[in-house]
Amino acid sequence: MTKRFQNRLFTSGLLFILVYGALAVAMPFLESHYQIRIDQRLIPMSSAHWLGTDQFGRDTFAMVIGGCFASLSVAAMAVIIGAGIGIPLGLIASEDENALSRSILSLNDLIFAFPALVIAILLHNIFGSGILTAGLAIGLFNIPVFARTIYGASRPLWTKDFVKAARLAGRSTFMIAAVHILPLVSSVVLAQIALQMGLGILAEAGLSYVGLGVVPPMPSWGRMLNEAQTLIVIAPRLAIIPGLAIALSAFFFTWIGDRLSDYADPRRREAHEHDRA
Amino acid sequence: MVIRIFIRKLAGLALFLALASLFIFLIVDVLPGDPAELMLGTDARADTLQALRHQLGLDQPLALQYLSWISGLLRFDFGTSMTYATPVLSLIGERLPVSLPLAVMALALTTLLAIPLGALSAQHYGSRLDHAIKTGFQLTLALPNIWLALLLIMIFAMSLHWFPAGGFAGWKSGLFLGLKSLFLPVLALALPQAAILARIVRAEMRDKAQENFVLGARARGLSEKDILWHHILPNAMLPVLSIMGLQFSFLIAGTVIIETVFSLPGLGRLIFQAITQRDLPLIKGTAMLLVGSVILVNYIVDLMATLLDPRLRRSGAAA
Repeated sequence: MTKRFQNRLFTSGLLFILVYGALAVAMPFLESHYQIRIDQRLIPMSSAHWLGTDQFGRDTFAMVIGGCFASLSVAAMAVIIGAGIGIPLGLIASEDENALSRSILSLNDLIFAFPALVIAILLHNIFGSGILTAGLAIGLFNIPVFARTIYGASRPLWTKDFVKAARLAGRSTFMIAAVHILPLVSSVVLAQIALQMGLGILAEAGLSYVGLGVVPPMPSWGRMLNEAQTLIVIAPRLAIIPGLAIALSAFFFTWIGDRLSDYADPRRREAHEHDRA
Repeated sequence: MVIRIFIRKLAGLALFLALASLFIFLIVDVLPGDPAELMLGTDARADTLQALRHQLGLDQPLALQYLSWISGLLRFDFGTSMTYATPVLSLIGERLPVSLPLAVMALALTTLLAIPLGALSAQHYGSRLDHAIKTGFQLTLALPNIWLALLLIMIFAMSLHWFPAGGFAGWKSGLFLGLKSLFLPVLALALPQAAILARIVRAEMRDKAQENFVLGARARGLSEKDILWHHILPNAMLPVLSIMGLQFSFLIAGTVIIETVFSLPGLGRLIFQAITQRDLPLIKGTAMLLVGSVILVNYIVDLMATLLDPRLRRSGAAA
């Protein structure tokens, strides 16, 4: 695989994310297409319904486009929670090896023991099913993921000379973390964000499949899979299409995350340049 | 020395389990306000609510409620399910013969696929084969396991009729039939996980290949193949082991969801019934079991890593 090909894939990945975001915004405008219409049940692919309709007469194409919203908003909410809390925690823990950093790292391990699904099950009692429960559950699980990554990337930076110089110049620890450390680990942060977006999309699909994610009438790829399961013999397309949407969007996000982390790690970057030679 | 590390880590384990149980207690029993009302609905009669509150011990102070719950946990008493009127632990026990083999086989298949493929990719680093395998990993890890499960059902159950599309034959009807009904679920769970793990194996082996012991082995005239499989791979296993511990959390969630796809009578079905019935003791008990098992597995992995790696053992003793 050449560098040029990889760059092209990276650009197309970014393009995909832009389109994906635009489609998510389109969700409310498609509402008339995913109303339940029993008279239009299970119509095969046609010019009126590009991808056909499901057992409730909803247009599959509109549902797939509309599903972008639930998947993007849950994954994005989870990343915002995870990064918003995890990055400061990781930065604080990385400054020194003391009681505070050890307790932050232990707290991380503790939160990590709660799979997003278990958190969703527990939160379901309070908030019911919906974007909030799914986003919070995946977001809580994301906190230790971000904290660990930032901790690992910034720990070696604190002993560098420029940090010592900043300390001598009277900069506070907070300012050093914000102005000197954070920009240096930003590519690692970006890579992690892309990766967690991909994993968040997969997690949202899982939660919606078991009924802990978004609720009808809002379209969701995970619930589409659930509803398609009984019709797998008569209308396999109903199961294939939403799954393809999940897999494609998860693939592009994780792909971009990978390219970014290659870029963030100079050793791996050299390896890629080596490949080209 | 080793015993001292063991005891110190055991104290950590106890603290973790206690904190996890506190967290579950807070979310289930404290945050919703009145669990009795949550279980019976807002239109329940006042005396029924009061009776349930008394039965669940909700009329006692919160600290006492928590203490009685964890003292029960310590005596392996996870409480009594409201819908089944059966001890939670025996309900869980009935489901484990499905869920446990499923999770264990998925973990085994993940490892069996990931280590050789990761090593193969590392051996041919930078070649066409490596890129092909790497792209394969990238595509596989993005597969939602539910979709993979449905595709497997379409191909191997609906078209080829090799495996059942769902349900569990039961171990009583023979080992072969039992394994046959778990084969597709195991595959759906293991493939994406194996892709993630294989990438870690590949990256760790690349890292280890830069180290001096590899140079030493090469200087002693060992063949590249020998160095890769007998020197680099064992050394890369430690970080891989700790990643496997972290993956266990995904495996637990995946098992519960995949059981639903294949309508297996495992823990997954129990949990989702508990959710629809708002059976709080059952929800609390199963959540504690799942979280506790993740904590325990990571504890064992951590302990194994410490015992296997002399460097960690020394630094562990110094701290």
